[in-house]
Amino acid sequence: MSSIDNIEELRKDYAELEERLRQVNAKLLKSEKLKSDFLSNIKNEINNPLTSILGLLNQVIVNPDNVKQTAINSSLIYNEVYALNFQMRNIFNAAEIEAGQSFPELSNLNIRHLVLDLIESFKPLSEKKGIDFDLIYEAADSFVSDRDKLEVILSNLMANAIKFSNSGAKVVIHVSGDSESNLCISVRDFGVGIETENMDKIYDRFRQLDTGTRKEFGGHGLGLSIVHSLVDILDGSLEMESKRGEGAFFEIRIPLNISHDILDMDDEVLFNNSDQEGEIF
Amino acid sequence: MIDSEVQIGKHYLYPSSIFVSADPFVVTTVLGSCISVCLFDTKNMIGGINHFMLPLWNGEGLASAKYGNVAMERLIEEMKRKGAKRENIKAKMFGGANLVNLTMNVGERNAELAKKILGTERIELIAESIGGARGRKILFDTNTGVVKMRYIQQTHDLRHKI
Repeated sequence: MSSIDNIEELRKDYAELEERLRQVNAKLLKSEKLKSDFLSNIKNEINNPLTSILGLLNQVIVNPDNVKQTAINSSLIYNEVYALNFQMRNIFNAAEIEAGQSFPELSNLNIRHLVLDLIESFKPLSEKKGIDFDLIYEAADSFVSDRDKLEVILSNLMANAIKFSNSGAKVVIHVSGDSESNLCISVRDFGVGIETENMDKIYDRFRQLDTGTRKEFGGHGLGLSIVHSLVDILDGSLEMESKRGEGAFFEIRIPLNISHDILDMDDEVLFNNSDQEGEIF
Repeated sequence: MIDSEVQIGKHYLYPSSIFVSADPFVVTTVLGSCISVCLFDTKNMIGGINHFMLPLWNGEGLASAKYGNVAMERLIEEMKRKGAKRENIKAKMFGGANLVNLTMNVGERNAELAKKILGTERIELIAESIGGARGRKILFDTNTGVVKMRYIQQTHDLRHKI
């Protein structure tokens, strides 16, 4: 090959690299912009509940004898604190994921209880909109998986389903297993749905589809990106189907590859039992 | 293995994580197609172990210790940071079973990758138990580098529990 060919080739490589660099740069600038939008948005998300909590508490302090008012305010405060706690957990989760510090922590857990607890804890929110959860449960109760991560994943999917449903609608949660020993959980709502052209954007951090969405529904746009990352950390998969105006369907599949019997086995018994073949390296 | 004079810690190593210690620990983990590489520097009494699921991080998503190349690099780095010297480090490797045909021999590919990285880092692999169709449970003593291993019987409850 002549040296001119070589130079030609190098030039091509160089142009290619330059183009790639330009793309990366554009991507970074965009994510920087999303991040600063996020910060101003999160300020509201934290400020609003705090302001109303302070106001409600103030009423109680000023009129300590008004038992009825105190009871009403307490339940309102509970709702605000619940929402705030949910937001904060999401932010911490996102930070942990970004720092690469999020690992699966397996334990024995009862998925049926987990889902029922979540439905219960969302009641103040769902009842306010008149939304009913339908649970179809077709799996064993007990599994080994990461409780906290599953809880964050499910609560985000459920919060979204409530948020984007019309009042009086149903949200269907389906828990089942598949032939490859995955745990499948789907959350289906019949709300506003997602347009096809926006589907690849929904897992972007800090992204809500337009500022109109944000104004109408609130939230900080972290939820689905957290769901996506946590499912990935648990080595699972996430699928979504939706049509504008017809609602959305999210399904997670989480492999359950370690039986709790193995985790619980006593090591000394295990190696002293002559029936079990053990080797030393 | 257990010296009654010394308090030996216990650690259960979860998939996609890494554990390195200069204190005596017995690290337990359960492996299917995943690989654990145990490294130990017997002169400085430092041991470390990883547990990765997939061979290569492709540059997309998170560079987590779920991927072999990331898990190996971080384990070696952490060993050195805790004071281990490369020339003293020996390696033992376990796992990489092909439990299900669907996984495209991920076990084999995991093992290949780990060996390649140990080669480039010039770390001697002194023992291994790789492949097969059964899962393994290992107990790794971080101070001595001794590994006790046994196969997990293919129990139906693993696959057909749901």
